Amino acid sequence: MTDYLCGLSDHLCAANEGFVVDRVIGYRSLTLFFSGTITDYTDILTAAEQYRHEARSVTETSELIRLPVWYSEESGSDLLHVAQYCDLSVDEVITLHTETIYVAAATGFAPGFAYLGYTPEPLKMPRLDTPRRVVPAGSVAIADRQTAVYPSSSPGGWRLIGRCPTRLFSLDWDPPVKIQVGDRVQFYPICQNEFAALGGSP
Amino acid sequence: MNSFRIIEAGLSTTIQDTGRLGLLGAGITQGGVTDPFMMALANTLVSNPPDAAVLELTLGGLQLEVTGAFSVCLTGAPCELAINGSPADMAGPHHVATGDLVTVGKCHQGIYSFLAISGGIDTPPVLGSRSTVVRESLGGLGGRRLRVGDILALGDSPGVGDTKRTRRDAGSAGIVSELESCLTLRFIRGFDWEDCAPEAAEGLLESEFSVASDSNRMAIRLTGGHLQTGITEAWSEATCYGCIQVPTDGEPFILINDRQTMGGYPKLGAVIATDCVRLTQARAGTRVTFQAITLEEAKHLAWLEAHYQETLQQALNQP
Repeated sequence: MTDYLCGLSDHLCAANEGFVVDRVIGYRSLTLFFSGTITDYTDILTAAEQYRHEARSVTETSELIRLPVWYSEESGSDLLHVAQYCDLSVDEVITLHTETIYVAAATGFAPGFAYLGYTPEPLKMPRLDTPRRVVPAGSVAIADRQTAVYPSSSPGGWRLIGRCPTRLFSLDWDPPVKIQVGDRVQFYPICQNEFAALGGSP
Repeated sequence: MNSFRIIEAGLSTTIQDTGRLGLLGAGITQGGVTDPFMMALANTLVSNPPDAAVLELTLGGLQLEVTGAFSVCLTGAPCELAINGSPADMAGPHHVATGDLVTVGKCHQGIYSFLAISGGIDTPPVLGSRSTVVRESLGGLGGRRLRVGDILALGDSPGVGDTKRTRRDAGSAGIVSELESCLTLRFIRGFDWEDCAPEAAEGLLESEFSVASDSNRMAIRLTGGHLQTGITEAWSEATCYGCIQVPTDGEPFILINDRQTMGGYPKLGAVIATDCVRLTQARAGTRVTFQAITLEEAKHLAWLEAHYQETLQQALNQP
């Protein structure tokens, strides 16, 4: 689905160059932003239909982004609860979380945030009933069958299992984010000392 | 170089321009001034390009001290304006010089007013815009609200003596936001309309809502609906300006400028921009109803609005 939406997005933006002012890929949707008084939406719909019939499959493989995670009770306040809920040991949670290669199915919410799918079935977790008011920057979290790193401190309702010291957003980069839709991501475990050495904020 | 110093900062005064589109996918919110047309009018009256950065005031309350010589104009929610203590009409433009005090007093109705200053606020653009997003500490002056003592530089502008513009009556120039005690929000149906429980769709069309007091630049919260959409599967997808999101508690909120770029709650539709701008000026307790329109009708209304704005702008451009 993500490959298809990336292809469709590129196709429609190329066909309407200069008129599409922004585009956002979601899990199951592509949203294009354009001026309704300049561009006619029916033209865009027609182009989307055409693309669907061509049904090209994109098999281009993107680079693998590897992100270090300090998994612990201290850095991920829900780690023990996740293990108990999923009937796994903490080590098994870490193994399941790190052995999977995720695909960024959507980005956004906050600068640098990427929705990574899909976590293994045994790690499926419901969201918190009441979101936390503050989730520390770098928190690695899971919810449903997704995982993500919170690039900056923000409210959040996902389950926290560790912290990642890697910067995911910077105004000095172009584009300003590390992970883009379609990118492949894999986590690997580090200890607290490595976390600090890699610049993780305490 | 022309500049001014903040003597009184008000509740929440921020630097705004037309905001940032093009980086929603990176999670960078659209942001920008809550009423781009009122900003454009204020800019036009002080001979700025329509998208020059202005000050957006929340419920009035601002005092600044002038260095140099420039002109100012206030549009949007009606406020008391005074130059060196003498009452002045909002539109102006008012020519001011070193030592002068520009005071924006109480805002009697509405929420946001826009102070344009000739030359435009000249803070460094961040990701293509000077707009402040306080939540992300982005843009404006250090990504924050203005504070007492801040000094802001202005861009180049023609000398004040050069402007041939004369004073105008604020009402006739259409520079004060129209404020209503009951708003009808016209919207186009969205993605989740078909999947939503019929009672929730009817509830949206037939209930009278009320603007909640915890509305802000991210979203306008409405109370009084209790819409149970019955949609449980939430797939994160893009949010748009005017998006009608219904969380599990059933009270809808309308997303505006500083919204988060993705949302996982059911989206019943999107309020057309013209009505959404009117909603941003609505104080807590304002009554709100919804009216569904077709995409074609929305397009037509957008065209009419663009035509109205163009005509008014041209009228103001006449010397």
